[in-house]
Amino acid sequence: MLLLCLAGTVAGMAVGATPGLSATVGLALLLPITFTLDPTTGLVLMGAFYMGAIYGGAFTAILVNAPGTPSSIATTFDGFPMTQQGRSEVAIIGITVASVVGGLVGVLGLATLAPLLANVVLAFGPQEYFWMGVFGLTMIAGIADSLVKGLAAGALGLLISTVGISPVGGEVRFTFGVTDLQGGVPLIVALIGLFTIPTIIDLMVAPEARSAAMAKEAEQRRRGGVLGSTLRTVLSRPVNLLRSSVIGTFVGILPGAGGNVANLVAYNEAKRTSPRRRNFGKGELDGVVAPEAANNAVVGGGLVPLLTLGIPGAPPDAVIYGVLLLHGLRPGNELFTEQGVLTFTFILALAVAALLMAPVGLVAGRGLQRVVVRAPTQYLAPAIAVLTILGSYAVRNNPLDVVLMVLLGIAGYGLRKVGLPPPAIVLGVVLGPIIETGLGQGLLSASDRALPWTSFFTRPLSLLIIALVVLGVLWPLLNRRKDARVRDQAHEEVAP
Amino acid sequence: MLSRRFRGGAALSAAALALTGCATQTDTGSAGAQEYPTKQVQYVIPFDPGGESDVTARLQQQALEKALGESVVVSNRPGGGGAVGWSALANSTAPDGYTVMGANLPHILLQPMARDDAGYQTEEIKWVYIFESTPNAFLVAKDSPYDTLQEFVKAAKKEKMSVGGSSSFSANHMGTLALNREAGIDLTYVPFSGTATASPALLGGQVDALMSYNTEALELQDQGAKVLAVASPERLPELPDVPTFREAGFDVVEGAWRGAAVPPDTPQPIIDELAAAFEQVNKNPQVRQRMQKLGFHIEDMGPAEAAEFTQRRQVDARRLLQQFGLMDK
Amino acid sequence: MRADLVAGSVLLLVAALFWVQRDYRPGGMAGTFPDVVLITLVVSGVWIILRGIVSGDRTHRPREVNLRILAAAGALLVGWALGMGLIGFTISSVVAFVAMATLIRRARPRPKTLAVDTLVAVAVVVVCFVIFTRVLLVPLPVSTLIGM
Repeated sequence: MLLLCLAGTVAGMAVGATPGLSATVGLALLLPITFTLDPTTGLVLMGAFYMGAIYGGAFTAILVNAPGTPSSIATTFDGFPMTQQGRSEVAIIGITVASVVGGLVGVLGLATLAPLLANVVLAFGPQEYFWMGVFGLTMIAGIADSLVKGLAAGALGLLISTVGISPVGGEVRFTFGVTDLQGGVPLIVALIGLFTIPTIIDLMVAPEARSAAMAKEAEQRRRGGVLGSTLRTVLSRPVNLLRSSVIGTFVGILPGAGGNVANLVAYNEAKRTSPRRRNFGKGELDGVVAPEAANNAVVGGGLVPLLTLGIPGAPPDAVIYGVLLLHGLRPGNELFTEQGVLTFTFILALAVAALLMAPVGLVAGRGLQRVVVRAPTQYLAPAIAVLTILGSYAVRNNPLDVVLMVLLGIAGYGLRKVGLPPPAIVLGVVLGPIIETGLGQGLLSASDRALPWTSFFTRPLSLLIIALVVLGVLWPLLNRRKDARVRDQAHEEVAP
Repeated sequence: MLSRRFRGGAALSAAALALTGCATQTDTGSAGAQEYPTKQVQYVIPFDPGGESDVTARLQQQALEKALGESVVVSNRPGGGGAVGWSALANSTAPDGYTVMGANLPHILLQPMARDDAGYQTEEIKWVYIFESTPNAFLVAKDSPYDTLQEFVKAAKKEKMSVGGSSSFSANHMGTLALNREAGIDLTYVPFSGTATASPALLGGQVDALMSYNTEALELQDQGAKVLAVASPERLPELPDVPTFREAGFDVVEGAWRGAAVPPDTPQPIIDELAAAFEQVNKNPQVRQRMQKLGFHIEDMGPAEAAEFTQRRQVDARRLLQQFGLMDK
Repeated sequence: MRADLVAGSVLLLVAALFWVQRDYRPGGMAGTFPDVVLITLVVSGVWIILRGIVSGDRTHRPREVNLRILAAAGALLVGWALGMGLIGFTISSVVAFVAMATLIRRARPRPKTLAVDTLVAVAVVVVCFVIFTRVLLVPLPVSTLIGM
């Protein structure tokens, strides 16, 4: 059983590390194998695979700025700068700790609070999803240097997300005469385009920039002790780990959101409350710990609605749902009582997989890191390019996506040069569908009111999230002022 | 210096282009049925992995290999609610029987009607077989005051009610429109991205009722929801106490049908060969058992029957869309 | 200031491109959200342009990148993406891989380095091809001539 867990975790990490191959795709490929296994073995394999895949997505995010899955978007914000500074090993160790802790917290939530947490799912209506999306947009204030440019970049992302079929009404929009654009622009295509292609272009335009980082990394390895010092640093800030894990668990529970939202929210919260917030975006370890703790917590959280209500909390859970049904197991309360042994074996397997990520990550992950860091630039750049091309193709097996990815990437390179930050664009692409769907559904489901839009302001939970939105807008502004004051004081002290 | 090097690269790639020809498709040529199949068959699903269509294909894969005597690879080409895949099937797939694509009703009927340019016409999707269906089911929450469809309809005549369902221009959407027409009511249809987000909306009270599928209805019944009617011609064995819409006095028969299709110019002998294979798959006891466990109803419609069935549904669907002003111009 | 003007103009251009594509069914909800976004885009675009003009920061930063290399890099990537659909994954990728390696070396390609680069390229591409098509069952576009 332990071996099976290990196999699942490792395979999951490999698939997760490949951009374009999400946890869902991997699980679907595993599906025929589970037909031949008994339910427990099949579920253990899938659970371990799922856990590993989410963790694996961080490696490529850190090393080459290519998030392996949309759950590792925010990991690039500080992870890749750390690589550029020759601190990729520190980052890899950091995310390993984070993923293990996050995974365990999520599983703990699943095992102990599942029926209670299931109520959260039902309390969340379209209005709440809308406000949650708006809350997500407030992160722009934290990402961008210039507020108006951040806003503009976010709007660009929202616009990209409207290409294709409208979520409410089923109308086809903005296809520019290209039939295949009916399907819209997949998030992962936008993601690797906007993040990774500019990285490749940088490597082509200024290959010498990498040598300093390579030298630093080598020097650090000679000195040693990275493992111990990083572990101490990460574990000495338990609040960040726990906060991010809890955020991940909660967001994971919501069927309309998943790892892609959770990692961003956790990053933003970590940044907002950290005393080192000015370091965020420039290679702050806490900035990779937060998203990675959150996305692995999503695994456990996402299974809450599945096991209690039969509602998959995230796309990968749909595949696990299928396996349960095929073995004649109907989710719901009986899964916790009559089938309790099976259910708890599954949950236990998830926990074991989370723990296994530590040794596997520290060996295989650091091995990969060493290979990537030492690879000569003239081979590393084209190899990353091969990866992005394969990844964008594999999302939908469609050559158009490769072209879209490259075009978006070149555009992203240019936009970055004029101060429109690609992360804000990606934020828009992630949140656009959530906001638009919530808006449309909210208006329709409240159509018995004279003014349907008032329903967005009368539900108690909506009001709570609105308060968070207001806080989200004000807090960074206050922080800015405080930071400015600190800077001024520093100036005064330095001045003679 | 740089430009010279780059020109060299361009020349190189031009040479490669000439060498390989502009072809990425597998070779065409209309082989007769005698020598079909002789190589791997691609079974493409125009939806995301993990969905119901995808899971069905992966269930069938082994049995299909046995029936065809060649290996079968399942892959996905999702986008646009299936339209991206079907557009490729109709326009740029070799009609040699080595690419078979999953096809769904009512999707292939409604997309060409509702969209400016869906990329294909319903007639271009050439059926091989329709092998399963999931009828619509109509539900209300546990604490809803309505115990029968008639009570619900009566109430809906007085006040505005909302019905959730899975996506627009889907079986759930059409079922709601058909109920509106038959009962003379005006339910507001609220589309969700799938059953995973639609079901919580019913349980959480965000919508008054839910038009869903039999599969989801079973699940929600366990959660205490009340299934008021099913949109099949006969009662369903898994929900024996639930009346059909027709029994309740409303002529609504709606649901999703899944099958396999090939490009328009595929030779008839190949289609027959494939149809025979899918028929055999449907007879495989293991496949049957697994499909039933997932709640799918097994259907057996060969190429001619499936085409005729599609035509019949098309007339209905067009009338319904026209009545509600949802046709594209 | 230049950056602001460029950024603002790009935003307005994108907004205009999407605006002419607007074609919603009357009474539907497909237009509500994109219209709000388009308006936001136009407003912020105008704002950025105005800010650029008002602040009038005229510092001329030295151009830090070689434009010819930049153009070559862009062309290479676009060609690669198009080539994959046209002549298959393996051939397009080997060619582009070698081209990119040569571009990064910034030196006139000697037969020996070219041979080494090609060898590395073939190895990386073939390994990726086998993993994707055989293990992950991704139907990559292939060239009819060499069958992969």
